[in-house]
Amino acid sequence: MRRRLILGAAGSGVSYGILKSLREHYREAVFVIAIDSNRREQSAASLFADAFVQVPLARSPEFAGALARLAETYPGSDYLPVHDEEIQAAARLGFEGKLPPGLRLIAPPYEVVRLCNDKWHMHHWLQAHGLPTPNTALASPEAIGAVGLPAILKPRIGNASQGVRLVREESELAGLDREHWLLQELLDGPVHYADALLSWRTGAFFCACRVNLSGARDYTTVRGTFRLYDDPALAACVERIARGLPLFGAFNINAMRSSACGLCIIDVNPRVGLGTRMSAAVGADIAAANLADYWGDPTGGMLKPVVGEYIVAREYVEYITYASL
Amino acid sequence: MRRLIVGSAGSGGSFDVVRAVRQWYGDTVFVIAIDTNPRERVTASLLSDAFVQVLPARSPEFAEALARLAEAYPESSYLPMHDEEIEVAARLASEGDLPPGLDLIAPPYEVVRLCNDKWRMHQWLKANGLPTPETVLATPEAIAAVPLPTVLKPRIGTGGRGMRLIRERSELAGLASEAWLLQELLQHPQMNVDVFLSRTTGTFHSACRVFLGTRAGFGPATHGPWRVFGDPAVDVLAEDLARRLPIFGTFFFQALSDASSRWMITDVNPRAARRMSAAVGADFTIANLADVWGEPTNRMLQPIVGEYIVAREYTEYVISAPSK
Repeated sequence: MRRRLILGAAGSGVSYGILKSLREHYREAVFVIAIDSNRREQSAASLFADAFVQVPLARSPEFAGALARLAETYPGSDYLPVHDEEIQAAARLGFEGKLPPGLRLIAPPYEVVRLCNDKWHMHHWLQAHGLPTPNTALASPEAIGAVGLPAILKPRIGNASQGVRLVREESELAGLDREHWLLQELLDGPVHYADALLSWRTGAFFCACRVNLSGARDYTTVRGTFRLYDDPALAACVERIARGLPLFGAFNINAMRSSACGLCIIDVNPRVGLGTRMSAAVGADIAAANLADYWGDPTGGMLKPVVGEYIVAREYVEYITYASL
Repeated sequence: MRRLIVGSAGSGGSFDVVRAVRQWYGDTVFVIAIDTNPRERVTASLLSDAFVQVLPARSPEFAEALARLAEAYPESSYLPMHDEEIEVAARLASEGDLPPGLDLIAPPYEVVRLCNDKWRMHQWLKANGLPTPETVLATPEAIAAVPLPTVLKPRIGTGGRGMRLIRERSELAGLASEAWLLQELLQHPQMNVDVFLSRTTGTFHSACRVFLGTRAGFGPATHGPWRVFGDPAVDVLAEDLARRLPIFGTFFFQALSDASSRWMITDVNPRAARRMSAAVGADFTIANLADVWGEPTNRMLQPIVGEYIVAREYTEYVISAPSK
């Protein structure tokens, strides 16, 4: 029987990238079921999948039921959740023993996922482990003394820079629930990224680093040109995070420079990133290696170390997903 | 062999132009990509025959750079792509300062200036009976009287930069009133309309696009799904706009709907947009060039019947690698 993979958040660019990687390395050997909360035609990945199933949002109470139906329709499947909220919901179900039988979850343990998704907890964890993290406080007027202004205001739990903004005056913090917002020191752009993999089976670690040459401070800017390079210092830091948590499988880290502590970790994402396909373009296909490693297949050919420096550009490509003929 | 100089080649729009040229004309057009960045920052350079790094269009040396290009590549067509570059090139042409033998593909300077100045464009639309949202310069009097919430936008700007939703008058303190506009809050989603009006035959064509994905605030739509469709009512509006300006070749405009679901024109851009419509047979980018070169555009501009969903994703290009 062909391997079966249920790929979550199939409308996202991350899932599209994972599926491209999978098809490049496994071609049709894996039966892929793309799932998303939007309709099929809103997902480019659905064009490369064997089946598509629209599901409720991961945070909805109906999500567990949808997974049960998927497991029944496609028994013996592996399930790779991709959206942060979806990863957390799936990991929680796994932790509570509520995943449908026969569905194997490809995600870190619930505790690790929660830690990654809560930037306040992660800040403390990094600090406690002697890892570089920017000066951060729960957002309150008192925090200004510690962090200074201007500063970055960001949701404690959030992704893709949603809600992140620059704060110049104390009055801009009025009415905020300090438990849900963080004030973080203003760092120097550009954003550095590390695509990493800690093998589930052998414990081997791999890392590829890149930086946006446009100098964008916004880390959702993933079009344009990037420098891919070998950064032993950042890789060592990322490996300490991976082994310390521990965070097995593929993950992605964002870092920015601080005058006080050099490169600071600003985000740890327990999944591949939107830009991880850039590493694949130079031979370091972390998304494919993550699945190969999970399935017990060799990953050597998928993880070519990045030696020297590459410039990789991202552009758009269009797909027709629906035509009303 | 035809020669085409593509400006702002590091932009996504220019990459689309070169991609369209290669798709329709193969290697029969010699493409010279120019940009302010070095070659390795410019994806379009991979598909071009030559690359030349130039100074920013606003610099005094830009005209000279164009003269050198015209000398190195005589009888070239020049397609500027960035708004600032288009305006500078159109100004040079209006002043007779474009180097001889360089054929500029851009609307006249007066039209470009009108498109790039949202305040003047608002007034022009109003004077011509075309739908435009309630807009005022951000003067102290206007700030005191404008209904809230309102949208603050730079008078001259692109890509939603500097735009924000204003809920309190205090957020508007200290603005240079000549440089900022306050515009009535309209309803999303935004509609983009690709328009073509032939310079030679007067043939008109348009296509509508609406982004179905999630966008952050007023920021530009990035990757994700678009609905591409034809709309006879919008066709009429687009043709009226194109013929009244007049703006020949390819351009696009954006519109949002008001409380009575009427489309209001919020921006007119004197250049081609990204190529979502091309995926369904309406390639406005290449039709613009074919029209300049005196070729028929029918096969490049298929009428859009019904609706399509076009999803846009990323693809990667390795521009430079360590030498072995």
